[in-house]
Amino acid sequence: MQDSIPELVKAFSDGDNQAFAILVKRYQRKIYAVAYQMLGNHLDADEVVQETFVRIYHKRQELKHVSNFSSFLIRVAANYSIDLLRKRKIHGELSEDPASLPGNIQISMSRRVRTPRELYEDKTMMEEIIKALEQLPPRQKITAVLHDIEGFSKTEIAAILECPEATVRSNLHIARAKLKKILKNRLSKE
Amino acid sequence: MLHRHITDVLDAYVDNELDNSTREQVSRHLEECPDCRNEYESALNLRDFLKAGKVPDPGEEYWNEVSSLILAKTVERTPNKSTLINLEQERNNNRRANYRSLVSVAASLMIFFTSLFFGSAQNRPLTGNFTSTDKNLPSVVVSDDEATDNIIITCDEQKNLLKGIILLGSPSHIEQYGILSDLFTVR
Ligand SMILES: [Zn+2]
Repeated sequence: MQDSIPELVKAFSDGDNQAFAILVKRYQRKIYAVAYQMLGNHLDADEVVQETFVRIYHKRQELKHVSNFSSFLIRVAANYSIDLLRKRKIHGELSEDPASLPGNIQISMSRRVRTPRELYEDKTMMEEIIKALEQLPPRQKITAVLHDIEGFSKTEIAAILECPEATVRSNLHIARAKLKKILKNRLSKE
Repeated sequence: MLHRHITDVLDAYVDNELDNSTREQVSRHLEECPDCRNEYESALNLRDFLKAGKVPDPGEEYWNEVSSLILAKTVERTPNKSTLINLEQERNNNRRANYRSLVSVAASLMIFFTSLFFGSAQNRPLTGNFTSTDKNLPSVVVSDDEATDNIIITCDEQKNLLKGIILLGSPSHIEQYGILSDLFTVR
């Protein structure tokens, strides 16, 4: 009954807009998560989600030659996140306080079936992770996010970032060493 | 396995990527060597720590909103066949209007450069109006506000001028209206 991803991708690249709408629904959360971890705030993550799908839409002809849609999609999102991150760093913009999310988004967040305590713990934990990740340069950061948080394999990340697997390994190794240093107190407490 | 070799494979060990025999060798070393065990434990802690974070979910309302926004920016911009003819006509009208405004900008620039080279002493204003002598714009008559003389730009000059503007200015605006193709076809 449900179309598989390759079928949806094929239909989309053949001009089926319904298929595109389904793909958006299916991948928007994944892209949001990667972008949020890269940029540390809702507004930028939102921009990455929208821009990624707009770009994918315009590249739909290319999808005929793409073997792994998910890698292709994450690559577009990762590259855009890195661009945005560099731009933000140049302009010295600080990441937005999550408490300053637009009103309607805060309301819908609070509607979820989670206790306030759970919400608080999620939020502070994520804030700590994002603070630590902030100290990494973009390539190391995206490697750590994709591998250690999002669970992509090193082979997948090499495909996503279009670099050798050895580069993924060394970036990950350096990123982890830095994170351990940054989080030293936190990690030894446990 | 030697201590210094362990640190090389510790990442792979944590990520469960080693073959069985190497894996056993590392395990054995970890039991004997407190330094490596420390290293391994902090790697595990880091992994657990990173996995524990949850990106805040902006909520169902947001997901619906953002997906409709994406569709509005993409799919809904693509005209369907029934409206295609009307849009095509509108586009042609737009093209014509934009072509004219571009030519007038070009004319102003032409006056500017001409005054730089030939008439700077006269200190004439840098703005100009243009009148087209023909619908197909084979040449453009430019009249300066004060001057009594007209500047005639030939078709070739006009093209070169416009090419210059395109190189200087934002090509996306020009591309958007499909003017580019109009410019480089010789009439
Ligand atoms: Zn050791």
